[in-house]
Amino acid sequence: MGVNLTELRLPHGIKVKNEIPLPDFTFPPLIEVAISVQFEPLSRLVVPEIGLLWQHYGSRFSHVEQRPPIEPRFEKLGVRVPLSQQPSFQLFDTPPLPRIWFLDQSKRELLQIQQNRFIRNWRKIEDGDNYPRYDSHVRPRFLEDFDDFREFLACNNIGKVVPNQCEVTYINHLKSGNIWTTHADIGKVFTFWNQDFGEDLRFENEDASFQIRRLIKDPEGEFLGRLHITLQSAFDENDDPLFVLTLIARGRPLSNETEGIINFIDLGREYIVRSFADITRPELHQLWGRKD
Amino acid sequence: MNGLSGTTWSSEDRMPYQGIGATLIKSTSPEQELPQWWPAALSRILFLLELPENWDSYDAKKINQQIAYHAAQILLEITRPGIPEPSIVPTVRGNLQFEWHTRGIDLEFEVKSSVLISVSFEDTVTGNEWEKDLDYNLIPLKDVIRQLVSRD
Repeated sequence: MGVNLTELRLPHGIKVKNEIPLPDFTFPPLIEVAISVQFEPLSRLVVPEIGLLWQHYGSRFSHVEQRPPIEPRFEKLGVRVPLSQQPSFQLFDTPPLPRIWFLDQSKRELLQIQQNRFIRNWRKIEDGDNYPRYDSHVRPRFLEDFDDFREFLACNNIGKVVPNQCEVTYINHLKSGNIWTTHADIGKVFTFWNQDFGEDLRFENEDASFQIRRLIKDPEGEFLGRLHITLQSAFDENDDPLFVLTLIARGRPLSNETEGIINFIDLGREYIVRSFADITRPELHQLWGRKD
Repeated sequence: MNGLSGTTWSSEDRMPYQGIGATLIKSTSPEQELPQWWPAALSRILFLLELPENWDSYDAKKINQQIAYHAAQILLEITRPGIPEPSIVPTVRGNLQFEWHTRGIDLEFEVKSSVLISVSFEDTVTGNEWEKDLDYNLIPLKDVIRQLVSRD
């Protein structure tokens, strides 16, 4: 397509506020990474076109599944509560078109399409799966498949993508082991938790959850979006304690072109990686092979 | 609960969260107090959606469903206790407009897309007036809604 989109980077001034290198882990506890673009609905992207799109992607995605569509989400300043926490309502007289999953043979690579969203995921399926890295896998795969999607829309007169929000999600499973054994050990996992809290044995902590929102701004202080950090106490398939740490950076694209979309995604990913290192303890960083 | 990533984990007392992740995460949701006029406002929006093309005999467009959806969302987002019921009017461009003409304040805003609203504000008490297009930063609208409510 002329421009090698994988080489696009944040424009000067947006890239990094400081020159501190991005935290880097050899064995991050990631189980899933997803990049999403939300856009104005494409009314001509209906079931027959979805079938054509599957053909367009060819043999790379051999499985198809159907899911309910995800509601539009917008990060705005000045609203009282996040959109996700408001009562939902439906104004449409026709049932919404489903969200379609295109999966590869291994089911690690996933593409999700609906009338107003394009989502590209990598998922850890087996214990031995290593995270294939953002720069060398997740980012270029997203750009390649999104470019294909735009090309398909243009060739079939379906419409043009007019993006209104971008989103990058990192889901981590922090497993118990030598450093922590129960959810009550939360202070051994997260830096914000005062380890003195809960020392009084009359009030033993059982588990905890939290939600943090951080603003994402450009260097001029202009609002771009938010980083949502969510922690949940959970258990794995062996009933061993687990913390599920989800980081979602969502905000407006810096332009309507692919460059403006990936610029926000890169910025959001940087907020995610720095925040992950910021809120987890150095003892765990050692376990995950922190390199920087 | 079986996570779709292949790792099984469980949690309790949650309602589904629809993220872009294929791993199903659950979270709680706080209760939201809605104004008493909310059902009537929603009914009004549904009524306006039924208007045919050329509803004003001057080539007015039919109300756009997506615009109506986003208008209702924005109304929910800016709602706060004590806010009076707005008038909801169709525009010839197929958009929806919310209006308050009360308590010495004239406030109108037209929802033009999922991320664009045009606001017109006039305070007849202080003489303050302005018109602005807002996208992702709705703080100017929030501030005038606060003035409207505080003048009760």
